Amino acid sequence: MSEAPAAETSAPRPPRRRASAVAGIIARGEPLVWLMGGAMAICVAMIGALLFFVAWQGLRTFWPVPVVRVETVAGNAVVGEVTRQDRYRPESFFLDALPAGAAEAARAVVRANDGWASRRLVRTGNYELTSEHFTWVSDFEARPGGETRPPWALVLERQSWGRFYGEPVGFLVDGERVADAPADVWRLFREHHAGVRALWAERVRLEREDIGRVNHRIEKERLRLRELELLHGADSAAWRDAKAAFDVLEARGQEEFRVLQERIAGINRDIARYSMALRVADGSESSIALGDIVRAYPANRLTREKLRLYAARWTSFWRTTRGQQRRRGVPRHFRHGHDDAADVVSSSCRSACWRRCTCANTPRPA
Amino acid sequence: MVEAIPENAYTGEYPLARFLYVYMNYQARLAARPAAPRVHPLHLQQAGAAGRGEGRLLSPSPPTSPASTLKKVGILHTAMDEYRVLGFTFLSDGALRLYRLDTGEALAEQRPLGVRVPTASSFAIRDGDVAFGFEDGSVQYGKLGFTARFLDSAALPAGLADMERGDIRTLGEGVVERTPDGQFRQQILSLVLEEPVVIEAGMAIRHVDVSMKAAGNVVAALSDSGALHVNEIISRRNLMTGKVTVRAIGGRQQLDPALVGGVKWLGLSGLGDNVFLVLRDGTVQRYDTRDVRNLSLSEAVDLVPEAGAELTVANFLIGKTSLVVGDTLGRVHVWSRIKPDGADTADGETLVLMHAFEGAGSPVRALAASARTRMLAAGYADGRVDVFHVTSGRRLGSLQMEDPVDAAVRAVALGPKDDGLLAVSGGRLGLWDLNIPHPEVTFAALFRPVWYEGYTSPEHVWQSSSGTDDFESKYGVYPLVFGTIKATAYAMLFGVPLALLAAIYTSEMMSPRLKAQVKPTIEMMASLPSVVLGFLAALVVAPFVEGIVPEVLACLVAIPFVILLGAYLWQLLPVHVSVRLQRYRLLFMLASLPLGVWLGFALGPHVEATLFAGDLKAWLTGRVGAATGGWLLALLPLCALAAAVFSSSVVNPIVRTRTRTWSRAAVARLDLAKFLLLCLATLTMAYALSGLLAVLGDLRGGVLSTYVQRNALVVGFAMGFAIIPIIYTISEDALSAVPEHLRAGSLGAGATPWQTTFRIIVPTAMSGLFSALMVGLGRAVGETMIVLMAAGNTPVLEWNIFNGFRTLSANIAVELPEAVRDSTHYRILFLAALTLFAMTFVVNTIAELIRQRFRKRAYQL
Repeated sequence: MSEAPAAETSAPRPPRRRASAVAGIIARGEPLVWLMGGAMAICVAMIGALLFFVAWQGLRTFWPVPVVRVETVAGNAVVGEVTRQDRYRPESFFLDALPAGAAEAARAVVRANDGWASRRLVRTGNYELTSEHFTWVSDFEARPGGETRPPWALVLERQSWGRFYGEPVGFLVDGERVADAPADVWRLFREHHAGVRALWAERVRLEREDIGRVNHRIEKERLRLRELELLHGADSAAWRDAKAAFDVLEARGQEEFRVLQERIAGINRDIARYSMALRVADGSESSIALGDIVRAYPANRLTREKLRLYAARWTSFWRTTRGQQRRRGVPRHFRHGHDDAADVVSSSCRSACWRRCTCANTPRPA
Repeated sequence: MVEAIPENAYTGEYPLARFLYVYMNYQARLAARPAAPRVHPLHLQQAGAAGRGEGRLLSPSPPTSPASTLKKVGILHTAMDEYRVLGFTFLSDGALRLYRLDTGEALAEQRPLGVRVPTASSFAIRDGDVAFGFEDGSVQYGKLGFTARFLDSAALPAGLADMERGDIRTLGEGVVERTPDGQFRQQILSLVLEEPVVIEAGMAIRHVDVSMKAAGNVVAALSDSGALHVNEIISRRNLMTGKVTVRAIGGRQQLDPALVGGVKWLGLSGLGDNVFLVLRDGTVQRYDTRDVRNLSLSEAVDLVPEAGAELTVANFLIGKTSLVVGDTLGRVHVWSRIKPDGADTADGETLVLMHAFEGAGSPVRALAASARTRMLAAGYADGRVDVFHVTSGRRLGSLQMEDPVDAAVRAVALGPKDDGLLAVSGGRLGLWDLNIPHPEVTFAALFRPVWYEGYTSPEHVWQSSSGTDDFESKYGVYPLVFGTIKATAYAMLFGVPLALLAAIYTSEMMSPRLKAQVKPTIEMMASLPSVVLGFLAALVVAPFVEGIVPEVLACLVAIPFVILLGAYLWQLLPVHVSVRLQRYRLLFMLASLPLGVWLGFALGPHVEATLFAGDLKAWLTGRVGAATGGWLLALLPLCALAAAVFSSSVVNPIVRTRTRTWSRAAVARLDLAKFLLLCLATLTMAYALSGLLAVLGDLRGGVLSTYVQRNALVVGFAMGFAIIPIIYTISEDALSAVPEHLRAGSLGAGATPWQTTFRIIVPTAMSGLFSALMVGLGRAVGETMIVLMAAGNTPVLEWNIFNGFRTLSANIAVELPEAVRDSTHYRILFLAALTLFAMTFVVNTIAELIRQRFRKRAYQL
């Protein structure tokens, strides 16, 4: 109601006194404001993208991915997890190495892409068989239609040699094949694995703690004896008394060693009873002892278990990290019970282990 | 505390000061007093009392060969051992005389070649390789050198047990010294000769030289018949009998037999690919011997073209590529083989005069090259001996041989460690201590172009080490300074606009609540360690960008375009809508970013196809496509700037008067049309201009050139992470610190936030903004890990954005762990640090002056 008279009174005013629309638009400087906002957006995007990239790379590390089987034109097969993809310019000798017909097709493909080709990095594991953990597979190398996801492909995380990829073909107890069908093998594996790993943990405990305790006791006494020898001489009465006591203690220690060694040997025998036969990429079979397997899963049959597996991997990652912080200061290879390292370290390193370790279970190098 | 005085610097107790001292005082033209070669004659006496009595100048014993009277016996070679206790002269009659250098006592005369008299000989600068030619046309080579061995102190030979530390005694044909550690070190001279090789049966060899290569030794010889022979010597040991058979494979070139007498010196290059024949008339004939079976004359050069000057002596420098010649005027000239474009010689290479040392008039009589550096000693007929450093062009010092009989220097030798100088005159043997720290350093050698061996012209080069001992160190600091500037420039070009604009937006346009979230987010960038940024830049960003270069270039244009387009579209919104949406405006801005990226990626292939001949990397090499694309790339920002200025100063006033009565929507539409037209105009103008400029020149080879994976573009981006947060946060603080009453007053007087920001706030905060820029600059200049990992570390002098560089800081990080302590290299790295400091100091001083001006203006408000 009050607006109408106001409009009437303003009507006779010359219109040029009112700020014009164009002046308002120019004065707001919208384009430059947007440029400033855009610059800020770029800054935020830069840091956001970087943090996202780091987080993504870290978080996906433990996520279980399917296992693929790629048959190549050369007649081989590659089984493993695809970890990376990229484009590259294949050298001509690389194409020449392909079988005749395939080489021609590959050249055509590469030519059509201006000399570029894509390839995938496949984590193939099975290091003790192939001497490599990863293999590049170019797209033109793959046989058309030769890519499958083997339903029963197992991924084994092991104490040594890294991962193992294969299809279960047998479960062995005392060297006897008790199951052939993958489903049965997998069922038996799940039945026995936890028990075998418990035995393994018991063995590690015996080696790491019990033997170490005995050893430490003997070493302490030996040093005390030596101290007396330095103080009073090797012929003094005090030393002779201490020596007699030490001999008794050492004999007792050796007896304890013997008992522990026997227990360890027994556990080792129990662990060695169970193993699993797997067929690897080239069709041959390989047998893996259950005690060596930390974790196994049928990668292409996982549904909800994926999440559980992911969580389990993170848990063991944290456990290992914390455990290592506790035992910080001693290189891993020199520590007691270095089962996982013993197989991969060189013999010189192993002899160093033997010299540094005071525990009895470390095998003396040949 | 060690004081930084010349004395301390000189004794090495204060390394940096010592370096500074050396560096300041060692300019080529300065007469460097205390640091000049500490030349003092140790023993200036006739060699042996008996020799003096019999009037024999050098030898205490009568010469074995009856033919060689004193005048006729020349000195082929002289040398000293690394401990400066033993020296020898090899005479032209085949005799070898050994001297104790601490007393001058002549030890023995040996005849290592037996009764034979060599007709030709060559002595290598290092490693003791020698070759002798004989009357019968055979050549024999081997090793002549000093060997040290430590005597068992339990079973010492008689008469040595009472030696004090530092004592020197004669033992047989060698010398025993008790070292400061108490050991007995025996020093002897030994000559091991291989089986003789017959080059040309029955023809005396007049000149010979040998180069030891890994594949086999190469021997060049000139025989009496006038034939130049170049042979590869292959020796095989029979596994069954152990007998060594020596075979020579090679070719010959028949020269004019009359020429043979005129040949002064023959030299075979270190790689065995060239033979130099220096004639008495001052010319040199260079033969191409890369194919030993097929020798050919490459060129003939007059080394001493001046009338009245004659060549007196010629020799190689270490590495056997540079030729040193002395003449009767006393000049020492260094000639080296280069491969210039369009050389008219047979093999495309030519000898050029690289370094020249003027003489004092007395003829040069002897030359000796150092076995480890580009140092050179020259002996003159008046008894003077000068020491030069070839690369830096310095005359390091001069000393005088005192000899009443015949002072003319007949032979000189530098100690194997460059710490002694041995000179032989007519009747005396002189030994000087040399103490020449860092002869290769002068101000000019560090900061000016220097002509290095193998380079076609003087250049700035940094190459501190190489695989061989013959290597000429190249300490040009300028490429590193350049790399630092390049890294800083590209980083600032990327980071400064982003950081400043973002800071202004955050401070002036954002609600405090949002600001409290955004500011820490961007500051989080600063929390990333630069080694992580470098790692990501080198291993993630660089390979990624390599595959999408055209797209990246298109994005640089597309993203600002889309953002601006968003602004003009925003203006189209009715007022009541835009006011309501004001708080979400930032979201729209954020959304325009992926749109811009999408547009860039969509345009990328088309840009590559139309401007860069379909293949950007091939185009960058300059082999395909027209120059227009490069110019367009460079001109587009400039044209955009011109269009913006044109728009605000010419178009806007016209629009303002003509559209006074228009509605807001109509004006907004007009504004959008204006923007699009100006974009089109920018593109057209840039294209037309670049077409014009493409006729005149090409940016390729300059700012744009061959693509390298680790390049300035990637470094600029990664360094953005380092400098953006700093510039951003300081600028933001400076803007926020502007008194609120200024802002309130301006807004209250009717100014828009935009007008308030740019007319009031930014000018007031200018000193703070400038400080922010300078802090960012300082961070960019000193940044090490990002450039170390992502810049490729090649010290090249190119502005090419697609190429790497090496900065001062990265260079220090790379080389300091490897540098020998207190060596020239080590100290130059400290100099690099000092240069870095000087650069930042100068920049910061200028910045502070400017900042204070801004501040004064701000206070006047």
